Amino acid sequence: MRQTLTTISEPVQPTVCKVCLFLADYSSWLLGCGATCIRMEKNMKRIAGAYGMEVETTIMPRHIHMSVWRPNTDERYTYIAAVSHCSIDFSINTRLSELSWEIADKRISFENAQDKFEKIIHSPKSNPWIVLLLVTIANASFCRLFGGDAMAMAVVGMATFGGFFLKQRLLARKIDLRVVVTLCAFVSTILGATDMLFHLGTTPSIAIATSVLYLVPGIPFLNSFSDVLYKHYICAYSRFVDTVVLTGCLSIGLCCGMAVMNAGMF
Amino acid sequence: MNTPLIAWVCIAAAIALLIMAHIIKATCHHSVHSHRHHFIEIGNERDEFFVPGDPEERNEADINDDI
Repeated sequence: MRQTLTTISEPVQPTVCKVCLFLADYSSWLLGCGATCIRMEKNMKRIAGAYGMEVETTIMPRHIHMSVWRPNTDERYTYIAAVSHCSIDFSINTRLSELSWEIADKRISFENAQDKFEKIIHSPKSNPWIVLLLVTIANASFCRLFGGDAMAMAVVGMATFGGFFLKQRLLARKIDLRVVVTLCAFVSTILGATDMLFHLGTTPSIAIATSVLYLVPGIPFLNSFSDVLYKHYICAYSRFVDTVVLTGCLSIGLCCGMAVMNAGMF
Repeated sequence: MNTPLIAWVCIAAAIALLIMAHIIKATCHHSVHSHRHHFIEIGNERDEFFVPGDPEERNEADINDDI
């Protein structure tokens, strides 16, 4: 009875098939943008519940398998969606979560929800120059946190600017992320060794070590731990392996850079 | 010659060239696809401080339009 009272009453209720296909697109984008499995599950159940339906999902590393049904009826639909290959974007992530709350709380219609979803996924991306500037400042600040002096911060800022710029350009050309991370780590290490090469400051080793921190895959690491907590072990393992591979690439670039610059290791 | 110095000069020069080439390309693309903005412009004070709801400024040519 409570279920019936809390569902959206529209003149024409969306069919189970339509809701399932909408949820397939929604979950594909949400997972692609860097959401955890538990967030995705909760959002999908919230949306399905608002239309008087239920959903069950199996989340695989590259696909989402879902079944949507209307309780006490024979209406049910099953679909397998591929996870969207988009970069991690917490802005889209947040707005998609807000959309699920709008559907549940503000009772927006299904057509309106579809329109809003399209607007969110087609919204313009952040200005790459602003992202570049912010990443540069953030990494220079990391250097300070690890005890680097002002000259080390400046060198790390320069190394990050060069490395991250290269990363943006290479990713825009659809080059494999592992190759990109290795190359950028190498370039940033070489530029980060400026302090050591020209004897500019007093903390050259900190400058080298922190010049590649912007490449650490922090979000997938955190997501994999979150997935372990909520027993999504397959997805957690997949994300963890991804991060280990990327960290390995980063280490190869760093070691090569240090070897070329004759920087003492450890 | 010193290998680290050669490596550093090559990498730094390559990245600097890449950044400059991208900036020049972006500037040319921007100037072709949009009208030019002057770096410094002298405009009407009203353009800068207009608040929605302020009475509209009328041109002399529009005065007789209401008649």
